[in-house]
Amino acid sequence: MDGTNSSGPVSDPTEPMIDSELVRAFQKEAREEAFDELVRRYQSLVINMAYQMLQNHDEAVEAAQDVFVKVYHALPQFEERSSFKTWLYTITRRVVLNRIRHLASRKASAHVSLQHEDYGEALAARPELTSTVQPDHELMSAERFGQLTGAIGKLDPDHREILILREIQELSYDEIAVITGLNVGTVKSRISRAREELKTILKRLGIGAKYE
Amino acid sequence: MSDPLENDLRKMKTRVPVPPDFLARVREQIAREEEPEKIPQPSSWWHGWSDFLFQNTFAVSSLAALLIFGVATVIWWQMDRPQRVSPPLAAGQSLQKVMDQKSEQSSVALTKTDSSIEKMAPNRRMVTVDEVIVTIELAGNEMRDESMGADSTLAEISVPSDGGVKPEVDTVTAAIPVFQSKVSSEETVRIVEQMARKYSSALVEGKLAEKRSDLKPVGDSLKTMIIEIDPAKKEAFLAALSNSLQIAPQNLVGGTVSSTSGGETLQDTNASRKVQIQILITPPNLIGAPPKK
Repeated sequence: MDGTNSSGPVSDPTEPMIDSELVRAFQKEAREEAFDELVRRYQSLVINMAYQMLQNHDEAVEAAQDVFVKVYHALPQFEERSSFKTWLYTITRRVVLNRIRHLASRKASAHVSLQHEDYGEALAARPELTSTVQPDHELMSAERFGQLTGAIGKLDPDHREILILREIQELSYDEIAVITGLNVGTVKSRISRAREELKTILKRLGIGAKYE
Repeated sequence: MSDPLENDLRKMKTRVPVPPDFLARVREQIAREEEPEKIPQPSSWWHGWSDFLFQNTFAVSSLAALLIFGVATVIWWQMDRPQRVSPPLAAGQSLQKVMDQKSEQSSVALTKTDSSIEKMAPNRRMVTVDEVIVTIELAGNEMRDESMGADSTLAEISVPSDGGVKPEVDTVTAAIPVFQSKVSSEETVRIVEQMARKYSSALVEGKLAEKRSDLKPVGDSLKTMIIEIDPAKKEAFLAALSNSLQIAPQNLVGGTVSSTSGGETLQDTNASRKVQIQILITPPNLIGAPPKK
């Protein structure tokens, strides 16, 4: 997702605007449709990232809404020191972490568990978590998706976040460093440890052999 | 990480479905947050009250019913009061019995032995008084003989000097049932108060003996009042008085008489007599405008 493969242009269907053009259209020309285009372009990424971290579809959608509302209000002050996508991920991470803290404080984590040992029970209690998730294609079933999601949910929160950004969202080390505020070396080492932890968890769940 | 795990993780990137109305939700939330916060305006106080009344219909209606019931009860009590008072003193009826009944009915008994009655009297109005019984006890025969006893009417109805109980204490009693007659309650009260003021003033000033002449007009007023009473009721009135005066003085006031002996005075050694004025009023209605002059 580089910002050029948009699903729909704002002004000319044949020449889709890149992210920076949409941002400036919103900032300088107050074109609301530019913001709508940014939402359509990144809504899936934001919802998926939120889902992987929150592991709850409804919470993820609500968090994504909050993300874009904050983007709407902050966009006029956005100075493009980083790409719009990086900036968007930064906001998403912050919103999701705040929501995680809020949910934890409410002790409402029975089915939005961020604890490794709770995720299995949550999955059993909320079959819609897997039923609402569609597999990409025949190579990845809903069962496999659920297994991987459960394994990711058992990761250490720091490892989970950075693994999602790197392996699922496919961000670069530099982008992850900007989003998390860590230096690139720390990002790399954390990603390495997160991979090892994930494999260990998969083995413990009895599905590690599939990824040997 | 070019293994199956890496491939599966990459497939998870966009696998969570996006609600078809997601953009509309975002727009709606933005519009909701941009909507100015509604601050209650001073002019909308009525809306707040109306909402409150509407949301608390039962409580408000209950309070209103209680308020109406209370007002109706007060109005009924005021209008119905003449029907609840004791009947006039009948011929041959014992004043003692009447007084006992009054006590049982929680009648207001004002017993004044000092000048406080003078302070009360000007502010007293008894428009609705139906019956007034005044018992004036004077200590000493000279008081009766020289001031009131001189009046023929009072002398006739006065307590026999040989009451036999305490020779040094005589009692002059005037029982004045109004009977709701032509003699107005206000006039009766006015006269009684006038008497009370004069006695009290004399007592306080220590010039009771010197004021005896002043008491004469009071006695005359009382006499006039009695004479002017409705003739149809006069006989019963006088009969009641006469009958009442058959009672021994110490019993007449139910033991509230403070009999005094010579030398023991309240404020004036010259007077050396205690004047006790007891006013029984039924029903109690002492608060109001000053009596008409």
